[in-house]
Amino acid sequence: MSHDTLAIIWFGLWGLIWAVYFMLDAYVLGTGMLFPFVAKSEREQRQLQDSIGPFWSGNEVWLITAGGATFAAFPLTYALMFSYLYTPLMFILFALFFRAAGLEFMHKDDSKNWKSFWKWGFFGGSLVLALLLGVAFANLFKGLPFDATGYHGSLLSLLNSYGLLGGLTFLSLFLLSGSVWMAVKTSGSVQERGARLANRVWMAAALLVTIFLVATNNKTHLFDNFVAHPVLWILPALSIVSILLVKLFLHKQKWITVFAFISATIVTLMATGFAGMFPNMLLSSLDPAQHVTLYQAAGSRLNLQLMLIVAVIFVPIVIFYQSWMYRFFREKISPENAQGYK
Amino acid sequence: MSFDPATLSRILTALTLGFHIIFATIGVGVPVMIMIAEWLGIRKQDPHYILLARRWARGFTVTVAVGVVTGTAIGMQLSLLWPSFMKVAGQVIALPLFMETFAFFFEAIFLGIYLYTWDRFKKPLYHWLFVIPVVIGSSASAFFITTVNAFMNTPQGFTLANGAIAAIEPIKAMFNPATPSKVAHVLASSYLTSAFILAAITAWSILKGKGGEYHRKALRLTMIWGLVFAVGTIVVGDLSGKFLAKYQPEKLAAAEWHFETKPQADLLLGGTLDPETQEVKGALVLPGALSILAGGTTNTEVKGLNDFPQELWPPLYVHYLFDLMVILGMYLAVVAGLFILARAWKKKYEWNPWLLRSIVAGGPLAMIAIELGWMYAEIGRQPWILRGYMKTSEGATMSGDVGQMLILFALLYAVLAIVSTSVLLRMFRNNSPELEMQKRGIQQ
Repeated sequence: MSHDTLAIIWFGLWGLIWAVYFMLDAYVLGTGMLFPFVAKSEREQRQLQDSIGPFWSGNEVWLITAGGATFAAFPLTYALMFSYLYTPLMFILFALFFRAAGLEFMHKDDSKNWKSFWKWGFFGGSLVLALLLGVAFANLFKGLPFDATGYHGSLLSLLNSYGLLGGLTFLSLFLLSGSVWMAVKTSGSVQERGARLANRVWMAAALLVTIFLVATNNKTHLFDNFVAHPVLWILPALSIVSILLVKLFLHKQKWITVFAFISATIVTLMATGFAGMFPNMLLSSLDPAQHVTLYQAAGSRLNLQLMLIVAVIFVPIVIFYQSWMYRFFREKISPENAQGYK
Repeated sequence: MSFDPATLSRILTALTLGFHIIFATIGVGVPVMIMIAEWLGIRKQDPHYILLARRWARGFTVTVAVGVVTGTAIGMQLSLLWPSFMKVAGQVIALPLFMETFAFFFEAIFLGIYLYTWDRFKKPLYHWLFVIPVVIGSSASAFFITTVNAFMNTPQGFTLANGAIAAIEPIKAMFNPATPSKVAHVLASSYLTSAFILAAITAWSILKGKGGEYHRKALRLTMIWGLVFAVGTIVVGDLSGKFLAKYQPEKLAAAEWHFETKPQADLLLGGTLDPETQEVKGALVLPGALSILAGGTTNTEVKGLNDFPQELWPPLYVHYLFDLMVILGMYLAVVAGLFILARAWKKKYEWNPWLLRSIVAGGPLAMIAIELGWMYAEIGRQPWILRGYMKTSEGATMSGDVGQMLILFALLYAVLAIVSTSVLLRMFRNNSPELEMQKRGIQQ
C-alpha cells in the first residue's frame, strides 16, 4: 500500500474511533447530567450508577485511544492540536476526573456534604465534557485561527456562535442518549422519568441538529466536498432521518431501537464533519493555504503499516469483548437489585 | 525568581512523572496481589482471603481513577514541553504508545466485569478468571511505556541526518538493549511495592489492636510475596547493573563515583566527593563489588567517568539516589525475610511490635525507593534526553506559557492527592474489615 493510501485509511480509522467514543460516552455523560434531577433517593441513585458502572471506563478508553491514534498516526496534528487547544484540554482533564470520581466516590462516605459534593461533581464534570467536546469539534470543523506565525485564538475565541451551537448540539444528543439509556437499563420510576425526559429532550435535540447542519452550510466550508461529491449528502441526510426515526420509536416505546438511532445520529454527524474536513485535519480559519492535510500530518509509512496491523487485529477483539460485556450485563437494574459493587 | 522554559519544563515533567508513578506502581502491582488473594480464598475455601481481594479491588478503583488522569497529563505534556524531542522520537515511540491503549481496554473492561460479578457465579473460579486480563492489561501497559523509556536510554532503529529522522524501524526501537532489564525491574519493583503497601496497612491495623485472623492472613500473604518480589527485584537490579556497564557505562560510573577504568572496582556506600581531586571520603567501601555488579567477577574491568568528556557526565549526586534506592530495596527484603524467619522460629514472634513497625515503615519506604529509582534513571541519563542523539536542553519548548502550565498542573495534582487520600481514608473508616466481616457473617 502506498503511503497516501495508508494515511487515508488511518484518517478513516481515526474518525471511526472518535465516533465510537462519542456514541458510547454519550449515554454516560447524559446520565451524569441528568443524575441529580432524576434520582430522588439513594436507591435510585444506585440504580443509575449501576446502569453505567461496569461500562463507563471501557467507554472512556475509546477517548484515550482516539488521542493515542492521533499521536501515533498523525503526530503533527497531535502536536499542533495540543499546543493550540491546551487550555480547553486542561478543563477536559479536570472534568474527566470529576466525572469519574463523582460516579465512583459518591457513596464511599455517608456524610451529606460528601455525597452532595460528588453528586454535583459528577454532574459538573459530565456537563463540561459534553459542552467542551462539542465546542472543540465544532471549531475543528470550522477552522482554528492559526497561520504561518502561530495560533491567534484563546479559550474565549472558541466560544463563538458556531462553537457554542456545536456544544449545545452535543449536549442535547447526550441528554437524549442518557435518558433513553435509563429507559433501556432500569425499571420502576427511574425508567418512567427517563422515558418522559427522552420525549421532551428529543424536540430540542432534533431542532439543534437541524440548525447545526444549516449553520455548517453557512458558516463553514465543510460542504464544499459534498458539492463536489454529492453522494456524501447521504451522511447528513442519515443524521436527520435517524433523529426523526428516534421520535417514531419513542412513540412505540422500543427503547433499544431508539437508542440505536440516537447512536446513528451521533455517528453520522461526526462522519459528516470528518468527510467535510477531508483531506485536511486542521483547518485554518485565517489562511486556507495553512490547512494541515492528513498527508502532511501522517507518520512514517512503516509505522502506519505496523499500527494498521495492530488495529486490524485488536480493534475487532476489543469490539467483540466489549459487546460481550454489554450482553453479559443486559439485565435491567431494578430499585431492588441496585447495590453497586461490594 | 524566574526560570527559562527548559528548566520549567524539567520541573513540570519531574512533578508529573513523580506523581504519576505512585499511582502507576499501585496500578500495576495491586492486581497481582488481588489475583493471589482470591486464588487462595477459592483454593482454601477461606472467606478471609476473598474479603481481602474484595477490599483491595475496591481501593484499587480509586488509584485507577487517578492514574488515568495523570497518565493522560503525561501524554499532553510530552508534545507541549518537549516538541523537538517528540519530532524525532515521536515517530519511533508511536507504536508502543498505540499498543498501550489496547492494554488499557483489556484492563478497564475486565475490571468492570470483575468488580460487578463477585456473587454472580456458582463456581467462584469463573469470577477469578476475570482478574487475569486485568493483571495482563496493567502489566502490559507497564511493559509498553517502559520500552519508551528504555529507548531514550539506548536508542536504536532509526537514523538521524540534519535533525530529520529516517529509516525508522519501530520494532527494533521497542526491543532495544535497555528493554529487558528495565521492564523486568519496573514490574518486579511495582509488585514488591504494592505488596509492602498492603502489608503496611495491615501491620498498622494489628498495631492498633486489631489482631484477628483476617489481618494475620493478610500479613502473611503480603510478606511471603513481598519477599519473593524483593528477591526478584534484587536479581533484576543486578542484571540492570550488567546492562548499564555494557551500554551506559557513564550512568553506572556516576552512581559509584568511579573515575578510572579498571578491574577490581569498588562499590561505595555514602561518603563525600571532592570533585577536584576525585577523592571520596567517609564512604563504606565494598572491595571489588562494582566489578561483580558490572560483570559477575572481581576481574571485570569497569569503565570510569574519566573516559568521557566532562560535559557528558551525569550529575554526580545520583550516587546518593542510587545508594538509597539499593539500601531501601535491601531493607524490604530483610524485613520480609525476618518476618518469615520469626514465624518459622516461633509463631508468636511474627507479631513482635518492632517487626510490625518495620513493616509499617516499609510501605512508604518502598514507594520512596521507586521514586529514587526513577530519579536515578532520569537524572543518570542527563545531559541526554535521547542518549547520544539529543540533549535535554535541545528537546525543550521555547514557549513562555510553561510557568502557567506548571501552576495549573500542580493544582490538578493537589486536587487528585487530596481527593484520593480522603476517599481511601473514608472507605477504610466507614467499612472496617471487622464491620464488613460482621455484615457478611464471616467468623472473625
